[in-house]
Amino acid sequence: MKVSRWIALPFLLPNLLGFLAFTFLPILASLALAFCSWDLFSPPQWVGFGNLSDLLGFTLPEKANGWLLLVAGISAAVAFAPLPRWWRLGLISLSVMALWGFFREIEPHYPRFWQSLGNTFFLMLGLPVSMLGSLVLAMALNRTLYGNRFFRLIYFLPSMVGGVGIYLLWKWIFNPDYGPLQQLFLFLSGHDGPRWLESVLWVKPALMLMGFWGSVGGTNMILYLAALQNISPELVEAARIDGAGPWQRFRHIVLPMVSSTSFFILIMGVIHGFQGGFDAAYVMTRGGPAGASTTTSYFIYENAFGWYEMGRASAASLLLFALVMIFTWLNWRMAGEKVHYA
Amino acid sequence: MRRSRLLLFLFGALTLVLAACQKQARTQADGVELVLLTPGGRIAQALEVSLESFRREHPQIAVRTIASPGRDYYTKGLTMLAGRAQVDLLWLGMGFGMFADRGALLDLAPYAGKERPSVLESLTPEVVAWYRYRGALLGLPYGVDIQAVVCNDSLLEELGLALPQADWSVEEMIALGRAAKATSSPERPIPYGIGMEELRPALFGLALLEEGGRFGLASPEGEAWLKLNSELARERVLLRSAGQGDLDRLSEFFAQRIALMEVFTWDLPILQQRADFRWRLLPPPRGPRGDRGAWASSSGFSITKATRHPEAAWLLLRHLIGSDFQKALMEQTVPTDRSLHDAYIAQGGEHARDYAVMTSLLPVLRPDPRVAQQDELLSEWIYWRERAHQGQRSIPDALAQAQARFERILQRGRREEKP
Repeated sequence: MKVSRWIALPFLLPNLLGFLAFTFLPILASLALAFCSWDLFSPPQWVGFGNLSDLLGFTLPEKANGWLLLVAGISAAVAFAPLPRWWRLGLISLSVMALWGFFREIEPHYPRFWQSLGNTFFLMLGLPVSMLGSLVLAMALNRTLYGNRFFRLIYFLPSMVGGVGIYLLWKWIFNPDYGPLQQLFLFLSGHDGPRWLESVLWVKPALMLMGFWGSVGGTNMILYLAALQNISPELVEAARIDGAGPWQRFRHIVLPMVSSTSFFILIMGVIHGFQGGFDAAYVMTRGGPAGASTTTSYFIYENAFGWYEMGRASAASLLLFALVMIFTWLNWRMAGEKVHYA
Repeated sequence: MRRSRLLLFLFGALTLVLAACQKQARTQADGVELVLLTPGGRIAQALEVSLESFRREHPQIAVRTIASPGRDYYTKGLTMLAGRAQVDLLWLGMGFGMFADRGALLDLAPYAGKERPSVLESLTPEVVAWYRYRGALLGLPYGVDIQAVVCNDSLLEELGLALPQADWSVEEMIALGRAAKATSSPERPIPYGIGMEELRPALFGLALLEEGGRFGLASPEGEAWLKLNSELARERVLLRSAGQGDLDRLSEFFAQRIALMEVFTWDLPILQQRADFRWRLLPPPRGPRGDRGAWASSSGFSITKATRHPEAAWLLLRHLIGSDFQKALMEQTVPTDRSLHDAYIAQGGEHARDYAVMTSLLPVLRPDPRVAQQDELLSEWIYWRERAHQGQRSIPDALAQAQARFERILQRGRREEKP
């Protein structure tokens, strides 16, 4: 029986309309607004690349050393010549150092945007640690031990509890005057611990610590648990008979067999990492102190709904989108071929 | 047949969608409905009582209130107005400039001008002036919020420190804060000397943003002021808030761990209820040049430019700045009607002298200038101030950066200025 393709339309239409109205059109509008100045109250004004240059632009102070740029360029160019590997590595390092020396002298037009990007990258450093923690935890819970169902529930609980409540709880834990963490420091060392959320140095580690608590035992652990349970026991048994020790079994059987899960978690983690950090910054620190916990998503929110700089917020969203695209592509290029699909 | 059924289904679905999008039906076909946006809490409670009498006087006008409690009140208000949601009147305090500068408010001068005697005659003229913007009267205040300093006399005596007098100077306040902090011990912890996040620029005759829209701290005095604040923050003489603002300040004071604290008119009821020790209100200390300035803000109502019922909205606004409403909120704000000042002081009971401190400050109030970019400027300032406090930037560099950012923001604001 031939079924008309149009019959699918009424079923697809509600979702399609919703997608068009609330996702696709806003994305297009945001793209256009990145090149406009708009405060919601008056009509948007075309500013071309003004918003992007405001975010990405910088001023060269007089003390900026042009020689460093020259050294960076020459060493990068020479590195492409047919040279021994260590020479090439040395030249690239020299180029990077010269570039670093040059760029640390420049004055960005909008340092807070660069800082928010830096914070976002810094917080994403927690991803590999969190993945490793999830894998270790999943391996521990994969053993047939008494009560492991109970522990699976316990470890999964943090990701089931509502966000804001958890943030308020952690805010209290990190309180430098009466928080339990400070009391613990005082008890153990006799000295005050770091002033976690008040310190530009400690606020990001504090947020990462809180993130581990929620993410190590969360969905990632469940995904790893499912992947581990899919590993054929015969494979492990065969390796054991061949004399493979625990580390070799982990290195040559478990890791390759869960690599597709790791790759999925990595891709999603990177995307989430770029977009994340808003809720914790909003509830716990308001992006402070001195912007040390402002992530790019919070920066976008602050510009859009705090200061009604819709154009600048859209331009930042556009840059964030480009970064997510680039890093996802890099992930596919660098890790995609190493993934083992069972 | 199947196709016609499909078309019929689609048509029905479309009708339902369009019906849902139809403008909200008016609740009273022959009257008007006003929508009033307010923050929650005590203001919303007082409003409900006040609106009952308004409804009795004007049965043809229905009033619907939308309470939007929380720290994002202004953001929500601006978003509602930008989204063309019906808001006829709204409560405005420090965020007045954000609305005024964006052309969101109706000029009340023609309505006030028609009345004889004018409503403006009874209100404190200095405070009414804060609601004038480029020649237009964009709101009317019912209360003034003023900053003073509260002193825990019991704690100071326990610590063996001299009690400050009303004519004190800012140097004396700092010395007292340092002395209080120095007495801290594990048995009697004094985590902070003064319950202030910063010594406000007004105490030193300075302003973050001067009239005319210039960064007011780019001067040797401003540099000295920021340096002093940084030192006091590092010494923990000033309160380093854990991000909970008032909660940190008040809880430490009530726990008798802070002897001196910045206090505002809205803090007085909780002081009366919770402080089970001897406390006293002092005016802000005199600055280095001998003059005194108190930070101040105000609370009032404005009518939105988008209202379809300006006459009815004016009636409601008149009701809300009337003496009944001012009396209802008198416990947390100084009434703008000067004839109510005696009643304001009397409500303090045994602390009447402390309430009188607030009214005595009316001639020396220093409100923040009102500009559209107020939140962005404030955020920018806190950013650079914190970088200086945390040692990430030198004091002159932090001030220079803040000045450059202020100029950039204000310049952009002038470019986008509404006609």
